[in-house]
Amino acid sequence: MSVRCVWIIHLPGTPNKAAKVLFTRKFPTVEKQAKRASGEGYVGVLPDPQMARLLVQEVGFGPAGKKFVAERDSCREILQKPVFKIKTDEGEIWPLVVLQQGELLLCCLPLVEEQTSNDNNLINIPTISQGFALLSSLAEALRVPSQEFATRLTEMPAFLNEAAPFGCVRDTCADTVLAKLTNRPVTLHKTDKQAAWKPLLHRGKSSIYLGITEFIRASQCNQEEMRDAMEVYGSVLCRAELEGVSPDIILNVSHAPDSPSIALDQLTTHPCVLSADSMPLPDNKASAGVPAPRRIRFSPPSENFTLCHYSASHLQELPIFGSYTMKPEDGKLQVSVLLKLSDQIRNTFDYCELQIPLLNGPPVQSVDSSPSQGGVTVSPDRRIVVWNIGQKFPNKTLEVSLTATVYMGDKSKSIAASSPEDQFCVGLNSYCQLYFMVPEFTHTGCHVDPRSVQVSPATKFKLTTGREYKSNDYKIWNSLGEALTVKEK
Amino acid sequence: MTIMAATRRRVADDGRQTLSNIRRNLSKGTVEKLFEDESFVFELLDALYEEEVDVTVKTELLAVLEQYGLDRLEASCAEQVAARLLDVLQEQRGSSDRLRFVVQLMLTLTSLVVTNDMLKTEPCGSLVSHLWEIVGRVNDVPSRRLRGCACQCLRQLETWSPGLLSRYKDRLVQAMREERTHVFQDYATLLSTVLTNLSARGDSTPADSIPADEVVPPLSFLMDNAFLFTPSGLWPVVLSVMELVKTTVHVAPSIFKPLMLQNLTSVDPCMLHIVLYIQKAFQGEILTAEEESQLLQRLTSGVNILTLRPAQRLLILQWIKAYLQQGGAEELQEEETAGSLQRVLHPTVFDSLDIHVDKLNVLTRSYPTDEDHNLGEDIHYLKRLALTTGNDQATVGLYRVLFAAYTHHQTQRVSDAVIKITQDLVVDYPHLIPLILDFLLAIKETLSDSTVYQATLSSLHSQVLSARQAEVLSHFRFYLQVLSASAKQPHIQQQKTIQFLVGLVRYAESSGACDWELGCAVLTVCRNLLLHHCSDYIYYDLGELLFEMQTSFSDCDIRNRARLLYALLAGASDEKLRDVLGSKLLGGVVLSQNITNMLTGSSQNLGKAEVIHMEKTGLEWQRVSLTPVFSSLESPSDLVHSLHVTGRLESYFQHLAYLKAELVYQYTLSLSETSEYEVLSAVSVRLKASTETFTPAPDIHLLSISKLGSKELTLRLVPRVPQPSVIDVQAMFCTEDHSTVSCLLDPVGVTFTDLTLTLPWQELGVDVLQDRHCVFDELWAVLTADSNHARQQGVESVKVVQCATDRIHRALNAFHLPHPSGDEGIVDKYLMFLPPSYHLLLQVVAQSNKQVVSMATDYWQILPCVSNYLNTIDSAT
Repeated sequence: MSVRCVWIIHLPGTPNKAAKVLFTRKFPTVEKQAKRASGEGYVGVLPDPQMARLLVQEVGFGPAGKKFVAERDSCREILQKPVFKIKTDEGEIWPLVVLQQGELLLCCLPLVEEQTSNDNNLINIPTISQGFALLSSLAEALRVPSQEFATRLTEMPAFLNEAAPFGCVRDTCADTVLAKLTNRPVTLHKTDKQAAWKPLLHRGKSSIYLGITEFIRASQCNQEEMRDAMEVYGSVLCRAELEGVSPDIILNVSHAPDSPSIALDQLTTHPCVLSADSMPLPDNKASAGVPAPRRIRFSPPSENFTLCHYSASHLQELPIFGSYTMKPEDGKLQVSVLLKLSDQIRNTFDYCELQIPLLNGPPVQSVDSSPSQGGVTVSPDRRIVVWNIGQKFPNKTLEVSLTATVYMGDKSKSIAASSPEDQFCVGLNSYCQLYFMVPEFTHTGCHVDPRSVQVSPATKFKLTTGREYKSNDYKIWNSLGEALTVKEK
Repeated sequence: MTIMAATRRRVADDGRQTLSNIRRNLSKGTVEKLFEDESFVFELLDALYEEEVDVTVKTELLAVLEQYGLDRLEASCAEQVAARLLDVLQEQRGSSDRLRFVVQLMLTLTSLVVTNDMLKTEPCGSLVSHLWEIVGRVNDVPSRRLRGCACQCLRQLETWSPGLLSRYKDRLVQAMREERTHVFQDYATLLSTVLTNLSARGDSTPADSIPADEVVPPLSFLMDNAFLFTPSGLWPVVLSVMELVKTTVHVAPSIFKPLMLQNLTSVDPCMLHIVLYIQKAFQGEILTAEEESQLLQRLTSGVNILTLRPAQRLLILQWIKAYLQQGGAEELQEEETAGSLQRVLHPTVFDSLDIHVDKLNVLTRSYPTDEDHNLGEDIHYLKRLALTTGNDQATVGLYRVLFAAYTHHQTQRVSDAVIKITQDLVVDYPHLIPLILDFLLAIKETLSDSTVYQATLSSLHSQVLSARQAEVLSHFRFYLQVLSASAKQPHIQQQKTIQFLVGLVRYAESSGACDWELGCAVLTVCRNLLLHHCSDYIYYDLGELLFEMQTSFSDCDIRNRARLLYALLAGASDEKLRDVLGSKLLGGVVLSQNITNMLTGSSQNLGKAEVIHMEKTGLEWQRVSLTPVFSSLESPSDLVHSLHVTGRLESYFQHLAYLKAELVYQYTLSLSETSEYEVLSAVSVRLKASTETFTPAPDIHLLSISKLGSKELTLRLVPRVPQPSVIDVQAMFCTEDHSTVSCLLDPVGVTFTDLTLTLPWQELGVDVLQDRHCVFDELWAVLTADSNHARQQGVESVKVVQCATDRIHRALNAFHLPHPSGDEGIVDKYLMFLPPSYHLLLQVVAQSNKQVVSMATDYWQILPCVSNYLNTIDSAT
């Protein structure tokens, strides 16, 4: 029930540099267990430089890593991402759990205690989820500003001694582990036990913060044979500073009276939730009036956490409907965009920006544009045309538009996009992407009803709630070209 | 005091230096070597005693000792190290300001005892006492971390030495019940390990001999307080309880039900995995059918929780695959469950490539076997991505899905889809061929029915044979893999393959591209042909190819290998040939005597033959005729220059782009009576044409020539520009006394008149005389237009020739454009074609006894030749 080894690798910024192991942690007792369990089939862990090189190759990082390699990409190889294997002269090192966060590759090798030679069933290996959770917590712990990164890296040995002594994973919440390392004094309750996930107790004024962040993704094609795709999903974040060992909170996730009411499909909850109305919504209830509130009862940890996730698949209308045309003509592009805000959406934005990525081909030399509002600029790398729309659509029309001529630069400076989806954008195939955020609003109308929040044992507390509605991957495809879509079932 | 300060500083520096040395070796991967020296270990331990050495340095030294040094210690050394570490622990365990150091010390000491099999030694006993003393301080808040660590250390010792702590069981139960800090989890985990080992004690102990009151109360207490555990911390407790459930009769699997039901909605990876693991172990004993269906529904919808990390969504997909594989597949037989799964798992446009491919893999397996489902819709996204970009990742994903689809649904529709997609991809992206061949091989190895393998490979084979040679040559690394694979198929006829390869080798030679890599690729195909096909059917063609390779390639490795295969083909039976060329000889095994005997010529390497240059050899050749030959190309020629034209000329130039013009010279080669040689053999004639003027012409080879007769040779020249030139010709041959001789023959003169050809009107799509005049007029206008912006496209000139009209007409008759009406006009038009794609237009107006010749051309360099030519007409009058 342990991990054999953990690596934190820095991925190379350029193709001719090698990956560098920033941190390794081996567990000799686990390695001894691995030898005993595997017998003659034991394969030892490689030295760090070799391990890093082979891992980066196996994960397929960088331009060279994206090419077909039969040993890794063959149809005969069983794909089990994020679990990988490395082939060495002595045999295979498997299962390697890998997580990438920015320029870091985090990897661990869970111990497999009993396994028949052909059994790759990942359910049968408990340490897979432990290893994954451990890597997630390391990633979370290392998510600090760059000037603090080196310091945080030096704390990794202590972090792992607390989170996984002897490689036995016991706590994978980064905030909790860091809190335990401080060893701050607490006042024990007479009878109640402290949860392992709540090592420190709050002293002082009580407060609860509940925030909903809702996202919308969309892919608009404006073509008859292809349907537009859209997804709305969100999460409820909570921070509860309440005195006591294990206070209970009850609240309702319901729909605000002044907003559209789109039923939530189901809730997926944090382990601290004791009970919840989380069942999937029957199809016949999806459009039946105002959806019923969903009640949640939970005992919160000390740190910020995500109380629940939700999705809403019964969205009928996009928040911003757009049409986009782009036509190349003799070294320039004629661009036209029209955006219309739905009247169901609150007309106040923290930001609203349209980006036209031109990642294949020559850089942008200049742009002649006439937006109906806002301003147009070019990104510093000359690859993206940016239209900063502003914080509000015109009240009367709720429409904004842009026509522009984009002059392209020297063809000899053309580059090819790195991702396959962006490589698809050649010729007339093109998209623009909308980035916006609406404060104090959700498209589903979902909110935490402040009147429903109850704490037990009863205490006075300051309640703060908030909502925000953001776009994430909101594409409008060029109606003159082909769109990259899936065919709906 | 100064000396003491200096000493303290030196000691501190020593510690840091040791650490620097360790870090350096860590980055190189050689740190284990440091511990091969025992004194290094003790040097490290000495640093632990020194107050001057910073505590963070000590902590790091202990960590390095734990990870890299412990398994390199000799037994006696290990005991000493353990004793010293216990001393330090005794000294330091009360230090509340050195928690990290003490924690690391406990971990290192425990690891030392475990890895060096010291569990039955005195140091282990001392360690247990120390640890138990720490553990015994229940509810002591300042020592929480130490107590938690001590519990983990004891748990390690108990795991490796089951029963070690059995005497502490009751105290442990009490400690667990009383502990109110978060360290409760560590006490609980330790207790569960002790209880599990107790129940598994010895084979002779019956499973039900453990009294119920020893097991049930603590287990119930643990499960009742499961909510207090972290998800990852719950795992060892769950596993211990599962073991107890299996090995005793006092605890039923239903003890897990509250935990499972409460966490059905959890998205935490450990909690979700725990529920799946328990369900798998006790299928049908805990959850009802409806609850299990709920679990599957939660599992599948977990894939679409977009706020999760993509890696976690992928992990959930792996669990779905595993769940369906292990027996959940029966559920898929229920239409409702399958339908629900298909709705949830259908990829969306927002899924990353990895998630998209994995979803499709699961989806494909969810359809009833061998039933047609709409594969085209499912793979639409991947197909568009692969066909538009040729991206390796996208294509790998696409073929993985096709592989899953075909292995589960071997229907005609899937087979057709595979072939069509493969054909489309190879046309534009030959670099994907290795990936496609891997897919085909995987199909062949996985399924006994290899229909799609053969059909697809045959299709690829045909596609390669119909590709242009230039295209194949530029991507030979990929295209020849197809021929190599198809050469292994006895059912695919190979004569065309070999002919194609002959053409390819010749083309490569003319382009100067006969390198080692190409040679290896071609020889690989040849080898496969010999191994898998009866030599009777391929004997002559393959022999020609191998001979061609011996002469075209300058690399001696290729020539030798070609020679070997040639010798085997000519001299060995098919069985012997396959025996020799079979896989046992791959990898460069030294050839045996028998094989070398098959090779013609001496095996002694005497060095290169000397080439004798001679002025006169008696070899003569004479030009017989010149015939221009026009043919159509499959794709536009790169020799064509184009003008900026509009209207009718656009069509004309489009046709011109596909026109190939060759000058075919017939020569006779003979050996004069005065020659000292009777017979010459292996005669090669090489034209040393400038590559700027002509495309490389292939050498001409003759087996032999004698005084008795002459040989007719055909020279094919393809001009790059219509420039009259003189081409040197060299001949090389072998004489009767086995000398190799070279000499120069009379050069080939390509004159102006050779280069002026009648325009092939029909090939250029201009049949009607009227249209020909239109072409002439429009071309004249383009060539003589005075453009200020663009480059002038032609040159105009005028010359007066002193001769009669019929004289000039006779000279230029072949190029004359008759008047449409049949009457003679004032202006006579003449249009000459200058290969590869240039024009010379003349308009002749008679003025008394003079001819005013206006000329326009798009190749101004020819004008001096035109002037000279017209002068000859003039002077001939």
